[in-house]
Amino acid sequence: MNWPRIFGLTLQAIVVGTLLFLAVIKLIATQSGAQVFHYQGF
Amino acid sequence: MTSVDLPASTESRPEKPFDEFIRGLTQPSLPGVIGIVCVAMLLGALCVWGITPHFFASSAAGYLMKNSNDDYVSVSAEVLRLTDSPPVKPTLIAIGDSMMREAISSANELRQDISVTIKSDLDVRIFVASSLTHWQEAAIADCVRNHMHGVVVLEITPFNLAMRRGALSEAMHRRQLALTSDAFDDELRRAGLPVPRRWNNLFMDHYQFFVAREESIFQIMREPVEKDDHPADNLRPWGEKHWQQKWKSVSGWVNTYKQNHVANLEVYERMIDRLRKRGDISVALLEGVQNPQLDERAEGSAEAKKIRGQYRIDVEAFAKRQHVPYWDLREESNLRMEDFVDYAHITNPQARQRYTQCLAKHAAALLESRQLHKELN
Repeated sequence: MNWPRIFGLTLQAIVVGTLLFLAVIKLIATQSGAQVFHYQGF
Repeated sequence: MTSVDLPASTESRPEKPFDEFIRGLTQPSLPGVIGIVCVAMLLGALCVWGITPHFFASSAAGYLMKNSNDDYVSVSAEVLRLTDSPPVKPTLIAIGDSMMREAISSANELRQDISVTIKSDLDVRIFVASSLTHWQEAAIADCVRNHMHGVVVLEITPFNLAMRRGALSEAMHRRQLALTSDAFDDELRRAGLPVPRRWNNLFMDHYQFFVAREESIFQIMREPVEKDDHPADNLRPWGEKHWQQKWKSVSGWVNTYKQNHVANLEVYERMIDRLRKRGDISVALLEGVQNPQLDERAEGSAEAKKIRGQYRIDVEAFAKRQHVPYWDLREESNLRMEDFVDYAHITNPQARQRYTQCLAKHAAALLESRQLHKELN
């Protein structure tokens, strides 16, 4: 087993996978028009 | 020795572990892509299975709040907290918008004031959020009605009754509350709006609510945000110039009263019917708190005066028809112009106290009459 390479691949999957998840969430938020309501209070 | 032997010996030499690690980390590969997709899907699955009503209400809400004014997170969490562990004691729930939020000192103060009068302890919950519509009030009331007994106080204002259906459509699209309610879905259906598919899962049913707060992932290490009970205290008081500028827009909010009040009163009627279905909840209507200066200015405008007068007649007749008390505590609480920061938000702590005491007095009387009614039957 090439452990150093497996560690590298795992770290890549965690970092890029998280970024992919966040990108998909951002896309969904933009597409659905989801936004946090802000009371302007004049 | 030939020059051909040298590269062959270099190729067979094993790479250093660090180089292998860097290769695995940086080079695109099929196992890498599979791993990336798996991690992304795992995070999605964690949201679907991990964000339960209990987890959201007990742990996640403070982290999801964008700031101390993000009161739709706190009100959703408070409602889910109540449904997750229902109160045993008689409960008073007040549901309303920022007018109510700024008028009542605190749930604890209201509880103490009522307890002194009725001479027994009770639970008080105040479910308030900025610009909360009566359709959202219906959703909250529907969520809590099977988990409590006591009194539910519903805020009513001329602004509510004048609201167009467009406001309901907006509330639906924005998914401001993370609450699933048949009553809210029913209101959408009646208004001819599409009813969102329900998955019976908090995250799936309200994914817009959660994805709108995706930044909270980066703020996981910060302290959970505490909601601000009276954010109006940070507003700058309106001067004469502000009144002149804003008066037209505020009074314009009730211009659609004539067209919409019947349909909006029907929303209140259905809300009251649902709350009273089990027979252990009394309902009261509470007039929203507005600056006396708003009434004074309305006196100067024939149209505004006519709408406000008609509103008063309609609400009193509605309350009579529904056999629910209608409380307008503004005069009784002796609210003055200087107690307000703008057209509707109290910032004077003494005025809040007076208003809370008045509300407590009326709520205590209602609770006592409920008790009497129970004993007689």
